[in-house]
Amino acid sequence: MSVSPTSPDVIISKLKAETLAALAKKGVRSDERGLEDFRRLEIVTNYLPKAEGSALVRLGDTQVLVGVKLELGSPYPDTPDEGVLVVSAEFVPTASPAFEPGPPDENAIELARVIDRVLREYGVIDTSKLAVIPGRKVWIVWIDIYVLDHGGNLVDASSIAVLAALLTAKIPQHVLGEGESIHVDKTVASGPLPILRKAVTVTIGKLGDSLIVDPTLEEESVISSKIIIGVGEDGLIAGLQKTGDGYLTKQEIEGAVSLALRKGSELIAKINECLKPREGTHVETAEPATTIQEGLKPLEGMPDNNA
Amino acid sequence: MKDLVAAVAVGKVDGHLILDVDQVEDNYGEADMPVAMAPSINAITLLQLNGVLSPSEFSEALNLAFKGINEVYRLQKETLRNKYLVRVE
Repeated sequence: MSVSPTSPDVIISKLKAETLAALAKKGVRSDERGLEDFRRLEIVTNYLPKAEGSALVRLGDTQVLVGVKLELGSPYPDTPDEGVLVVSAEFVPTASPAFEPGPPDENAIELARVIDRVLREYGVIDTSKLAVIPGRKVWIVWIDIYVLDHGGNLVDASSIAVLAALLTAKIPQHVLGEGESIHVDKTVASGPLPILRKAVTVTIGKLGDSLIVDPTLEEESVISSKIIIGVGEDGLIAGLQKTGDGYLTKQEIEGAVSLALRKGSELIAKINECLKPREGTHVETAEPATTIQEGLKPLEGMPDNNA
Repeated sequence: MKDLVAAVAVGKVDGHLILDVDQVEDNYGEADMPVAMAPSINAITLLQLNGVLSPSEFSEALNLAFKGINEVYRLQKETLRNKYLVRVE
């Protein structure tokens, strides 16, 4: 494991830190959001043509790309009739001055593990439907998270991108041949990846004595602790993790959990909206603004291969 | 020094919330939630939930953890006090 630059990723002046806390106490933030507002959310699905599923998510200044790949492989001995889920995260060096090239550091591993736990514990993917030859060959679902721009709250941006990518992922067409040979044609889909239920994470930061949703990079450098809460579509708590050196009181934890459940169901509704078949490709919703696009749309300044 | 930190894990096994999860319960249970806190200053310093709980189960689990933490906290203080007890003849 490479050595990670210690948090915070940005160092800000004491004066600024005090201002952020004082603003939060008044119920506002430096970017004029309310304490319980997410930043502008943009979801582009099917961003990577060669992946079985993909999504690019922009949450304020944070940008995360997720690719889902399906490969045939051996199942785990204790779950011979189930597919395998592997989540990994990569912090691209250009995403932040604090990120360095090399193998995933502890922050990237933590991000992947938090997302993995929510997917696994809540049973988002129906792995029982991923066995091709039970006990021998199953689909391995590789979920790769690439942090392209670090503007704070990487976990929630990643969880939104992962869910959107999984919901658009298709199982490649596969034909059983002689013996145990399987012919896979990735250009043709045999059906969608079986998704049982949806879940996202909601990260709540403690800034002074206030609880804030979707912290920016600047806010993350001054909050004493964060609580990452997995929220399922049926209002269940799908895992939870406190991070940071600070502490939370019982009342703060209870407040954070009820706030997260509320915001989580809003996020899932937005992802559902994004994936709904519709006319046109651009949908704007009321504040907090969400832009939803489908299909391949290159980033500004990048060559458009589809043109 | 502000306080002592005491910790305990709460779990969910076969639909029931349980205090002080043992290895079998941890391996085969539906959820486990370690909690650490400094009870006198009402500060939860560690909290992690592996598994799924409903909001009411979570609230119940947290209260159960506080019960266990207060018990451990009492024993911690008692042990510390006893160590420094001096028998006066």
